[in-house]
Amino acid sequence: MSVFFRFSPLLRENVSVALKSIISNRLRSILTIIIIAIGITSLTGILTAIDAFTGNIEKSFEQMGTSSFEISRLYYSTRNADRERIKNRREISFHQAKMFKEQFDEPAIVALYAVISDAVTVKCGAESTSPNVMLVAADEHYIEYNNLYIDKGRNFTGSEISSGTFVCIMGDDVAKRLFKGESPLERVVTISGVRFQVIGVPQSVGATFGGGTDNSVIIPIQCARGYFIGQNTSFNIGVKPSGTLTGMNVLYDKAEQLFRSIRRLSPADESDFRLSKNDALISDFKQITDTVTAIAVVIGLITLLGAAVGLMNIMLISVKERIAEIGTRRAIGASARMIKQQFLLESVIISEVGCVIGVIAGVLIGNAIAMVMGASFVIPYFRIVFAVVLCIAVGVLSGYIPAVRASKLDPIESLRHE
Amino acid sequence: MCIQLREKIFCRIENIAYICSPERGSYFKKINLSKFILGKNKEYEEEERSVHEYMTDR
Repeated sequence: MSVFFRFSPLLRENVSVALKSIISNRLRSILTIIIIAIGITSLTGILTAIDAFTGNIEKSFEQMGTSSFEISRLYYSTRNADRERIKNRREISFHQAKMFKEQFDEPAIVALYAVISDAVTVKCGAESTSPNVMLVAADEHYIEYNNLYIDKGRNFTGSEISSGTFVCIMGDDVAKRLFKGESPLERVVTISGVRFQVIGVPQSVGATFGGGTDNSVIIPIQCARGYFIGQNTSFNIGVKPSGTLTGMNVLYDKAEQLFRSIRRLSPADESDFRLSKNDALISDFKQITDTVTAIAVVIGLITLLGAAVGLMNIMLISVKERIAEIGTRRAIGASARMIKQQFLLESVIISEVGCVIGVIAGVLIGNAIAMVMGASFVIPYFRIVFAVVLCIAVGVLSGYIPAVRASKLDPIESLRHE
Repeated sequence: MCIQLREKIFCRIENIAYICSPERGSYFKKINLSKFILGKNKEYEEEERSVHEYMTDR
Protein backbone atom coordinates (compact mmCIF):
# COMPACT_ATOMS: atom_id res chain seq x y z
CA MET A 1 0.00 0.00 0.00
CA SER A 2 2.80 2.42 0.93
CA VAL A 3 4.44 1.75 -2.46
CA PHE A 4 1.15 2.62 -4.14
CA PHE A 5 0.88 5.89 -2.22
CA ARG A 6 4.53 6.75 -2.99
CA PHE A 7 3.70 6.56 -6.68
CA SER A 8 0.50 8.48 -6.25
CA PRO A 9 0.99 11.42 -3.87
CA LEU A 10 -2.15 13.08 -5.18
CA LEU A 11 -4.25 10.04 -4.28
CA ARG A 12 -2.69 10.03 -0.81
CA GLU A 13 -3.56 13.69 -0.48
CA ASN A 14 -7.13 13.04 -1.61
CA VAL A 15 -7.52 10.25 0.94
CA SER A 16 -6.29 12.60 3.62
CA VAL A 17 -8.63 15.40 2.41
CA ALA A 18 -11.57 12.95 2.35
CA LEU A 19 -10.79 11.76 5.90
CA LYS A 20 -10.51 15.34 7.18
CA SER A 21 -13.79 16.24 5.57
CA ILE A 22 -15.48 13.19 7.11
CA ILE A 23 -14.13 14.10 10.54
CA SER A 24 -15.09 17.78 10.23
CA ASN A 25 -18.69 16.87 9.28
CA ARG A 26 -18.95 14.48 12.21
CA LEU A 27 -22.71 14.28 12.77
CA ARG A 28 -23.53 13.86 9.11
CA SER A 29 -20.81 11.21 8.68
CA ILE A 30 -21.94 9.27 11.77
CA LEU A 31 -25.56 9.22 10.56
CA THR A 32 -24.52 7.95 7.13
CA ILE A 33 -22.22 5.34 8.66
CA ILE A 34 -25.11 4.15 10.86
CA ILE A 35 -27.36 3.76 7.79
CA ILE A 36 -24.75 1.60 6.02
CA ALA A 37 -23.95 -0.31 9.23
CA ILE A 38 -27.63 -1.24 9.73
CA GLY A 39 -27.85 -2.57 6.16
CA ILE A 40 -24.68 -4.63 6.54
CA THR A 41 -25.65 -5.83 10.05
CA SER A 42 -28.92 -7.24 8.75
CA LEU A 43 -27.19 -8.91 5.80
CA THR A 44 -24.24 -10.45 7.67
CA GLY A 45 -26.37 -11.20 10.75
CA ILE A 46 -28.84 -13.35 8.83
CA LEU A 47 -26.09 -15.04 6.81
CA THR A 48 -23.95 -15.73 9.91
CA ALA A 49 -26.91 -17.30 11.71
CA ILE A 50 -27.64 -19.49 8.66
CA ASP A 51 -23.96 -20.50 8.40
CA ALA A 52 -23.88 -21.44 12.08
CA PHE A 53 -27.04 -23.57 11.75
CA THR A 54 -25.88 -25.22 8.54
CA GLY A 55 -22.50 -26.12 10.04
CA ASN A 56 -24.14 -27.54 13.15
CA ILE A 57 -26.69 -29.64 11.29
CA GLU A 58 -24.13 -30.96 8.79
CA LYS A 59 -22.00 -32.00 11.77
CA SER A 60 -24.99 -33.86 13.23
CA PHE A 61 -25.54 -35.70 9.93
CA GLU A 62 -21.86 -36.57 9.61
CA GLN A 63 -21.91 -37.87 13.15
CA MET A 64 -24.67 -40.31 12.18
CA GLY A 65 -22.42 -41.62 9.42
CA THR A 66 -22.92 -40.87 5.76
CA SER A 67 -23.44 -44.53 4.83
CA SER A 68 -26.34 -45.05 7.27
CA PHE A 69 -29.87 -44.90 6.01
CA GLU A 70 -33.34 -44.83 7.49
CA ILE A 71 -36.71 -46.20 6.44
CA SER A 72 -39.57 -44.02 7.55
CA ARG A 73 -43.10 -43.11 6.57
CA LEU A 74 -42.77 -39.34 6.45
CA TYR A 75 -40.21 -36.92 5.14
CA TYR A 76 -40.12 -33.21 4.52
CA SER A 77 -40.94 -31.92 1.07
CA THR A 78 -41.28 -28.36 -0.20
CA ARG A 79 -43.83 -29.44 -2.84
CA ASN A 80 -47.50 -29.29 -1.85
CA ALA A 81 -48.44 -32.28 -4.02
CA ASP A 82 -45.75 -34.39 -2.30
CA ARG A 83 -46.89 -33.30 1.14
CA GLU A 84 -50.47 -34.36 0.46
CA ARG A 85 -49.32 -37.76 -0.83
CA ILE A 86 -46.92 -38.35 2.08
CA LYS A 87 -49.57 -37.42 4.66
CA ASN A 88 -51.85 -40.24 3.53
CA ARG A 89 -49.27 -43.01 3.70
CA ARG A 90 -49.81 -46.08 5.87
CA GLU A 91 -47.89 -46.18 9.15
CA ILE A 92 -44.92 -48.51 9.48
CA SER A 93 -46.20 -50.92 12.12
CA PHE A 94 -44.02 -52.51 14.77
CA HIS A 95 -44.72 -55.85 13.17
CA GLN A 96 -43.43 -54.67 9.75
CA ALA A 97 -40.34 -53.07 11.30
CA LYS A 98 -39.61 -56.22 13.27
CA MET A 99 -40.03 -58.39 10.17
CA PHE A 100 -37.53 -56.23 8.32
CA LYS A 101 -35.04 -56.58 11.15
CA GLU A 102 -35.40 -60.36 11.17
CA GLN A 103 -35.22 -60.80 7.41
CA PHE A 104 -32.50 -58.28 6.49
CA ASP A 105 -29.48 -60.58 6.46
CA GLU A 106 -26.85 -58.13 5.19
CA PRO A 107 -23.80 -57.07 7.25
CA ALA A 108 -25.51 -54.18 8.99
CA ILE A 109 -26.89 -53.05 12.32
CA VAL A 110 -30.66 -52.58 12.22
CA ALA A 111 -32.21 -50.31 14.85
CA LEU A 112 -35.95 -49.88 15.43
CA TYR A 113 -37.24 -46.74 17.01
CA ALA A 114 -40.14 -44.32 17.18
CA VAL A 115 -40.35 -40.77 18.44
CA ILE A 116 -43.27 -40.90 20.88
CA SER A 117 -43.39 -37.22 21.76
CA ASP A 118 -41.13 -34.20 21.77
CA ALA A 119 -42.94 -32.52 24.63
CA VAL A 120 -42.79 -34.65 27.76
CA THR A 121 -41.87 -33.66 31.30
CA VAL A 122 -39.45 -35.84 33.24
CA LYS A 123 -39.78 -35.74 37.03
CA CYS A 124 -37.63 -36.94 39.89
CA GLY A 125 -38.90 -36.08 43.36
CA ALA A 126 -39.47 -32.33 43.50
CA GLU A 127 -37.35 -31.66 40.42
CA SER A 128 -38.83 -31.63 36.94
CA THR A 129 -37.76 -30.59 33.45
CA SER A 130 -39.54 -28.21 31.08
CA PRO A 131 -42.18 -29.99 28.96
CA ASN A 132 -39.90 -30.11 25.92
CA VAL A 133 -38.03 -33.39 26.37
CA MET A 134 -38.13 -35.84 23.46
CA LEU A 135 -39.29 -39.36 24.35
CA VAL A 136 -37.90 -42.05 22.05
CA ALA A 137 -38.81 -45.72 22.05
CA ALA A 138 -35.88 -47.74 20.73
CA ASP A 139 -34.10 -51.04 20.81
CA GLU A 140 -30.56 -51.86 21.93
CA HIS A 141 -29.04 -50.93 18.52
CA TYR A 142 -30.31 -47.35 18.49
CA ILE A 143 -27.27 -45.98 20.35
CA GLU A 144 -24.84 -47.63 17.93
CA TYR A 145 -26.90 -46.62 14.88
CA ASN A 146 -26.64 -42.98 15.98
CA ASN A 147 -22.85 -43.26 16.48
CA LEU A 148 -23.28 -42.53 20.18
CA TYR A 149 -21.51 -44.19 23.06
CA ILE A 150 -22.65 -44.51 26.63
CA ASP A 151 -20.62 -42.17 28.80
CA LYS A 152 -22.03 -43.26 32.17
CA GLY A 153 -23.73 -46.57 32.92
CA ARG A 154 -24.68 -48.97 30.13
CA ASN A 155 -26.86 -49.62 27.07
CA PHE A 156 -30.09 -51.66 27.04
CA THR A 157 -29.68 -55.42 26.99
CA GLY A 158 -31.58 -57.62 24.55
CA SER A 159 -33.68 -59.08 27.36
CA GLU A 160 -34.60 -55.63 28.69
CA ILE A 161 -35.87 -54.74 25.21
CA SER A 162 -37.85 -57.95 24.70
CA SER A 163 -39.30 -58.03 28.20
CA GLY A 164 -40.08 -54.32 28.27
CA THR A 165 -38.25 -53.52 31.51
CA PHE A 166 -38.86 -50.05 32.97
CA VAL A 167 -35.38 -48.64 32.41
CA CYS A 168 -34.25 -45.62 30.44
CA ILE A 169 -31.23 -43.93 28.90
CA MET A 170 -31.22 -40.24 29.63
CA GLY A 171 -29.73 -37.43 27.52
CA ASP A 172 -26.95 -35.38 29.10
CA ASP A 173 -28.98 -32.12 29.27
CA VAL A 174 -31.97 -33.82 30.92
CA ALA A 175 -29.68 -35.53 33.46
CA LYS A 176 -27.96 -32.24 34.30
CA ARG A 177 -31.27 -30.42 34.74
CA LEU A 178 -32.79 -33.12 36.97
CA PHE A 179 -29.83 -34.23 39.05
CA LYS A 180 -27.66 -31.09 39.03
CA GLY A 181 -24.27 -32.77 38.91
CA GLU A 182 -25.22 -35.89 40.95
CA SER A 183 -25.05 -39.29 39.29
CA PRO A 184 -28.38 -40.15 37.61
CA LEU A 185 -27.58 -43.88 37.52
CA GLU A 186 -29.98 -46.16 39.42
CA ARG A 187 -32.27 -43.18 40.15
CA VAL A 188 -35.96 -43.48 39.37
CA VAL A 189 -37.69 -40.87 37.20
CA THR A 190 -41.34 -40.46 36.25
CA ILE A 191 -42.49 -39.84 32.69
CA SER A 192 -46.25 -39.30 32.23
CA GLY A 193 -46.90 -41.21 35.45
CA VAL A 194 -44.71 -44.22 34.53
CA ARG A 195 -41.56 -44.87 36.58
CA PHE A 196 -38.25 -45.72 34.93
CA GLN A 197 -34.84 -46.47 36.34
CA VAL A 198 -31.95 -44.58 34.69
CA ILE A 199 -29.30 -47.03 33.48
CA GLY A 200 -27.14 -44.89 31.19
CA VAL A 201 -26.24 -41.43 29.88
CA PRO A 202 -24.76 -41.07 26.37
CA GLN A 203 -21.98 -38.59 25.72
CA SER A 204 -23.13 -35.08 24.93
CA VAL A 205 -23.31 -34.34 21.21
CA GLY A 206 -24.69 -30.80 21.31
CA ALA A 207 -28.20 -29.77 20.50
CA THR A 208 -29.73 -29.27 17.10
CA PHE A 209 -32.53 -26.67 17.10
CA GLY A 210 -32.79 -27.12 20.87
CA GLY A 211 -33.45 -30.86 20.54
CA GLY A 212 -31.20 -33.82 19.74
CA THR A 213 -30.10 -36.75 21.89
CA ASP A 214 -28.98 -34.50 24.74
CA ASN A 215 -32.55 -33.41 25.31
CA SER A 216 -34.18 -36.83 25.05
CA VAL A 217 -35.01 -39.92 27.06
CA ILE A 218 -34.84 -43.34 25.40
CA ILE A 219 -37.01 -46.17 26.71
CA PRO A 220 -37.22 -49.82 25.56
CA ILE A 221 -39.47 -50.21 22.55
CA GLN A 222 -41.56 -53.06 24.07
CA CYS A 223 -42.18 -51.14 27.23
CA ALA A 224 -43.24 -48.07 25.20
CA ARG A 225 -45.68 -50.17 23.15
CA GLY A 226 -47.58 -51.04 26.32
CA TYR A 227 -47.81 -47.52 27.75
CA PHE A 228 -47.14 -44.79 25.19
CA ILE A 229 -47.54 -46.06 21.65
CA GLY A 230 -50.98 -46.09 20.06
CA GLN A 231 -52.23 -47.64 16.84
CA ASN A 232 -51.20 -44.65 14.76
CA THR A 233 -47.54 -44.57 15.73
CA SER A 234 -45.22 -45.16 12.81
CA PHE A 235 -41.89 -46.83 13.48
CA ASN A 236 -38.58 -45.99 11.87
CA ILE A 237 -35.89 -48.44 10.84
CA GLY A 238 -32.29 -47.28 11.01
CA VAL A 239 -29.67 -49.29 9.12
CA LYS A 240 -25.95 -48.82 9.66
CA PRO A 241 -23.87 -50.95 7.27
CA SER A 242 -20.90 -52.54 8.98
CA GLY A 243 -18.95 -53.10 5.74
CA THR A 244 -17.11 -50.66 3.52
CA LEU A 245 -18.80 -48.07 1.33
CA THR A 246 -18.49 -50.14 -1.86
CA GLY A 247 -21.69 -51.77 -3.01
CA MET A 248 -23.83 -49.44 -0.91
CA ASN A 249 -26.37 -48.93 -3.67
CA VAL A 250 -26.94 -52.70 -3.82
CA LEU A 251 -27.57 -52.64 -0.07
CA TYR A 252 -30.08 -49.79 -0.42
CA ASP A 253 -31.85 -51.67 -3.23
CA LYS A 254 -31.99 -54.86 -1.17
CA ALA A 255 -33.43 -52.98 1.80
CA GLU A 256 -36.03 -51.31 -0.40
CA GLN A 257 -37.02 -54.59 -2.10
CA LEU A 258 -37.33 -56.38 1.23
CA PHE A 259 -39.46 -53.66 2.76
CA ARG A 260 -41.65 -53.44 -0.35
CA SER A 261 -42.40 -57.14 -0.01
CA ILE A 262 -43.12 -56.72 3.72
CA ARG A 263 -45.51 -53.86 2.87
CA ARG A 264 -47.09 -56.16 0.21
CA LEU A 265 -46.60 -53.69 -2.64
CA SER A 266 -47.06 -54.89 -6.19
CA PRO A 267 -44.29 -54.12 -8.71
CA ALA A 268 -46.47 -51.38 -10.22
CA ASP A 269 -46.94 -49.60 -6.87
CA GLU A 270 -44.80 -46.71 -5.85
CA SER A 271 -42.92 -47.24 -2.56
CA ASP A 272 -45.10 -45.87 0.23
CA PHE A 273 -42.15 -45.27 2.55
CA ARG A 274 -39.00 -43.21 2.38
CA LEU A 275 -35.56 -44.73 2.33
CA SER A 276 -33.44 -41.75 3.22
CA LYS A 277 -29.70 -41.91 2.99
CA ASN A 278 -27.84 -39.49 5.21
CA ASP A 279 -25.84 -38.03 2.31
CA ALA A 280 -29.14 -37.42 0.47
CA LEU A 281 -30.51 -35.79 3.61
CA ILE A 282 -27.51 -33.47 3.66
CA SER A 283 -28.18 -32.42 0.08
CA ASP A 284 -31.93 -31.98 0.84
CA PHE A 285 -31.02 -29.83 3.78
CA LYS A 286 -28.56 -27.82 1.68
CA GLN A 287 -31.35 -27.14 -0.81
CA ILE A 288 -33.51 -25.70 1.97
CA THR A 289 -30.72 -23.56 3.42
CA ASP A 290 -29.76 -22.34 -0.07
CA THR A 291 -33.34 -21.11 -0.55
CA VAL A 292 -33.34 -19.42 2.87
CA THR A 293 -29.91 -17.88 2.12
CA ALA A 294 -31.13 -16.53 -1.22
CA ILE A 295 -34.18 -14.96 0.47
CA ALA A 296 -31.96 -13.50 3.22
CA VAL A 297 -29.53 -12.06 0.66
CA VAL A 298 -32.41 -10.41 -1.24
CA ILE A 299 -33.81 -8.88 1.99
CA GLY A 300 -30.31 -7.73 3.02
CA LEU A 301 -29.66 -6.22 -0.40
CA ILE A 302 -32.96 -4.30 -0.29
CA THR A 303 -31.94 -2.86 3.11
CA LEU A 304 -28.55 -1.98 1.66
CA LEU A 305 -30.18 -0.37 -1.37
CA GLY A 306 -32.06 1.90 1.03
CA ALA A 307 -28.75 2.70 2.72
CA ALA A 308 -27.14 3.43 -0.67
CA VAL A 309 -29.91 5.89 -1.57
CA GLY A 310 -29.43 7.56 1.85
CA LEU A 311 -25.68 7.81 1.27
CA MET A 312 -26.18 9.32 -2.19
CA ASN A 313 -28.62 11.87 -0.79
CA ILE A 314 -26.18 12.89 1.93
CA MET A 315 -23.31 13.15 -0.58
CA LEU A 316 -25.44 15.40 -2.83
CA ILE A 317 -26.18 17.68 0.14
CA SER A 318 -22.49 17.63 0.99
CA VAL A 319 -21.55 18.77 -2.54
CA LYS A 320 -24.09 21.59 -2.35
CA GLU A 321 -22.80 22.75 1.03
CA ARG A 322 -19.17 22.72 -0.10
CA ILE A 323 -19.40 24.62 -3.39
CA ALA A 324 -17.08 27.38 -2.08
CA GLU A 325 -14.56 24.77 -0.97
CA ILE A 326 -14.69 23.07 -4.38
CA GLY A 327 -14.16 26.48 -6.05
CA THR A 328 -11.14 27.18 -3.85
CA ARG A 329 -9.63 23.80 -4.62
CA ARG A 330 -10.15 24.30 -8.34
CA ALA A 331 -8.56 27.77 -8.07
CA ILE A 332 -5.41 26.50 -6.39
CA GLY A 333 -4.82 23.75 -8.90
CA ALA A 334 -7.16 20.81 -8.35
CA SER A 335 -8.37 19.28 -11.59
CA ALA A 336 -11.98 18.19 -12.15
CA ARG A 337 -10.73 14.60 -11.88
CA MET A 338 -9.26 15.26 -8.45
CA ILE A 339 -12.53 16.76 -7.19
CA LYS A 340 -14.39 13.71 -8.49
CA GLN A 341 -11.88 11.41 -6.85
CA GLN A 342 -12.20 13.23 -3.52
CA PHE A 343 -15.97 12.85 -3.33
CA LEU A 344 -15.82 9.24 -4.50
CA LEU A 345 -13.21 8.47 -1.84
CA GLU A 346 -15.34 10.14 0.83
CA SER A 347 -18.32 8.03 -0.16
CA VAL A 348 -16.26 4.79 -0.24
CA ILE A 349 -14.57 5.53 3.12
CA ILE A 350 -17.94 6.25 4.81
CA SER A 351 -19.36 3.08 3.26
CA GLU A 352 -16.39 0.96 4.39
CA VAL A 353 -16.43 2.30 7.96
CA GLY A 354 -20.14 1.44 8.06
CA CYS A 355 -19.24 -1.97 6.63
CA VAL A 356 -16.68 -2.72 9.38
CA ILE A 357 -19.14 -1.75 12.12
CA GLY A 358 -21.95 -3.65 10.38
CA VAL A 359 -19.85 -6.80 9.91
CA ILE A 360 -18.75 -6.86 13.58
CA ALA A 361 -22.34 -6.26 14.78
CA GLY A 362 -23.77 -8.73 12.24
CA VAL A 363 -21.35 -11.54 13.16
CA LEU A 364 -21.98 -11.00 16.88
CA ILE A 365 -25.79 -10.77 16.57
CA GLY A 366 -25.99 -13.67 14.07
CA ASN A 367 -23.88 -15.88 16.34
CA ALA A 368 -25.83 -14.84 19.42
CA ILE A 369 -29.10 -15.90 17.74
CA ALA A 370 -27.52 -19.15 16.51
CA MET A 371 -25.99 -19.93 19.92
CA VAL A 372 -29.30 -19.34 21.72
CA MET A 373 -30.75 -22.01 19.41
CA GLY A 374 -27.88 -24.41 20.07
CA ALA A 375 -25.42 -23.82 17.21
CA SER A 376 -21.73 -23.05 17.73
CA PHE A 377 -19.80 -19.82 17.01
CA VAL A 378 -18.64 -19.27 13.42
CA ILE A 379 -16.76 -16.52 11.60
CA PRO A 380 -18.07 -16.44 8.03
CA TYR A 381 -14.93 -15.25 6.21
CA PHE A 382 -16.48 -15.51 2.75
CA ARG A 383 -19.50 -13.42 3.84
CA ILE A 384 -17.17 -10.79 5.33
CA VAL A 385 -15.21 -10.47 2.06
CA PHE A 386 -18.55 -10.31 0.22
CA ALA A 387 -19.75 -7.48 2.53
CA VAL A 388 -16.50 -5.51 2.07
CA VAL A 389 -16.67 -5.78 -1.74
CA LEU A 390 -20.39 -4.93 -1.68
CA CYS A 391 -19.71 -1.81 0.40
CA ILE A 392 -17.03 -0.62 -2.04
CA ALA A 393 -19.63 -1.02 -4.79
CA VAL A 394 -22.25 0.82 -2.70
CA GLY A 395 -19.76 3.63 -1.98
CA VAL A 396 -18.84 4.03 -5.66
CA LEU A 397 -22.46 3.83 -6.88
CA SER A 398 -23.75 6.28 -4.26
CA GLY A 399 -20.82 8.67 -4.64
CA TYR A 400 -20.57 8.69 -8.43
CA ILE A 401 -23.40 11.11 -9.31
CA PRO A 402 -22.54 13.61 -6.50
CA ALA A 403 -18.83 13.39 -7.45
CA VAL A 404 -19.53 14.04 -11.14
CA ARG A 405 -21.77 16.95 -10.17
CA ALA A 406 -19.02 18.39 -7.96
CA SER A 407 -16.38 18.02 -10.67
CA LYS A 408 -18.55 19.78 -13.26
CA LEU A 409 -19.08 22.92 -11.16
CA ASP A 410 -17.82 26.14 -12.74
CA PRO A 411 -14.71 27.16 -10.71
CA ILE A 412 -15.39 30.92 -10.95
CA GLU A 413 -19.06 30.59 -9.96
CA SER A 414 -18.10 28.20 -7.14
CA LEU A 415 -15.43 30.55 -5.81
CA ARG A 416 -18.00 33.34 -5.62
CA HIS A 417 -20.52 31.10 -3.86
CA GLU A 418 -21.13 31.98 -0.21
CA MET B 1 12.49 27.25 3.09
CA CYS B 2 11.76 29.65 0.30
CA ILE B 3 8.88 30.27 -2.06
CA GLN B 4 9.12 28.05 -5.11
CA LEU B 5 9.00 29.50 -8.61
CA ARG B 6 5.53 28.19 -9.46
CA GLU B 7 3.90 29.09 -6.16
CA LYS B 8 1.60 32.09 -5.95
CA ILE B 9 -0.13 34.03 -3.21
CA PHE B 10 -3.76 32.98 -3.34
CA CYS B 11 -5.13 35.08 -0.55
CA ARG B 12 -3.86 37.57 1.97
CA ILE B 13 -5.61 38.37 5.24
CA GLU B 14 -3.67 41.17 6.95
CA ASN B 15 -0.18 39.78 7.52
CA ILE B 16 -1.08 36.17 6.81
CA ALA B 17 -0.68 34.98 3.23
CA TYR B 18 -1.89 31.68 1.80
CA ILE B 19 0.42 30.41 -0.91
CA CYS B 20 -0.58 27.58 -3.23
CA SER B 21 1.27 25.43 -5.68
CA PRO B 22 -0.70 24.51 -8.81
CA GLU B 23 0.29 20.82 -8.72
CA ARG B 24 -1.56 20.07 -5.53
CA GLY B 25 -4.96 21.61 -5.21
CA SER B 26 -5.61 20.61 -1.60
CA TYR B 27 -3.20 22.49 0.60
CA PHE B 28 -1.92 25.96 1.25
CA LYS B 29 1.27 27.13 2.79
CA LYS B 30 0.27 29.64 5.43
CA ILE B 31 3.02 32.19 6.08
CA ASN B 32 3.30 35.18 8.36
CA LEU B 33 4.38 38.08 6.15
CA SER B 34 5.62 40.17 9.07
CA LYS B 35 8.45 37.67 9.44
CA PHE B 36 9.19 37.59 5.75
CA ILE B 37 11.17 40.20 3.85
CA LEU B 38 10.42 40.14 0.13
CA GLY B 39 13.36 39.89 -2.22
CA LYS B 40 15.78 38.83 0.51
CA ASN B 41 15.00 35.14 0.11
CA LYS B 42 15.24 34.70 3.85
CA GLU B 43 13.86 31.68 5.71
CA TYR B 44 10.33 32.10 6.92
CA GLU B 45 7.96 30.10 9.08
CA GLU B 46 5.33 28.25 7.18
CA GLU B 47 2.48 26.00 8.15
CA GLU B 48 0.57 23.58 5.95
CA ARG B 49 -3.16 24.30 5.85
CA SER B 50 -5.82 22.24 4.16
CA VAL B 51 -8.54 23.91 2.07
CA HIS B 52 -10.92 23.02 4.89
CA GLU B 53 -8.81 24.83 7.47
CA TYR B 54 -8.33 27.74 5.14
CA MET B 55 -12.13 28.02 4.75
CA THR B 56 -12.49 28.01 8.55
CA ASP B 57 -9.68 30.61 8.96
CA ARG B 58 -11.37 32.86 6.47
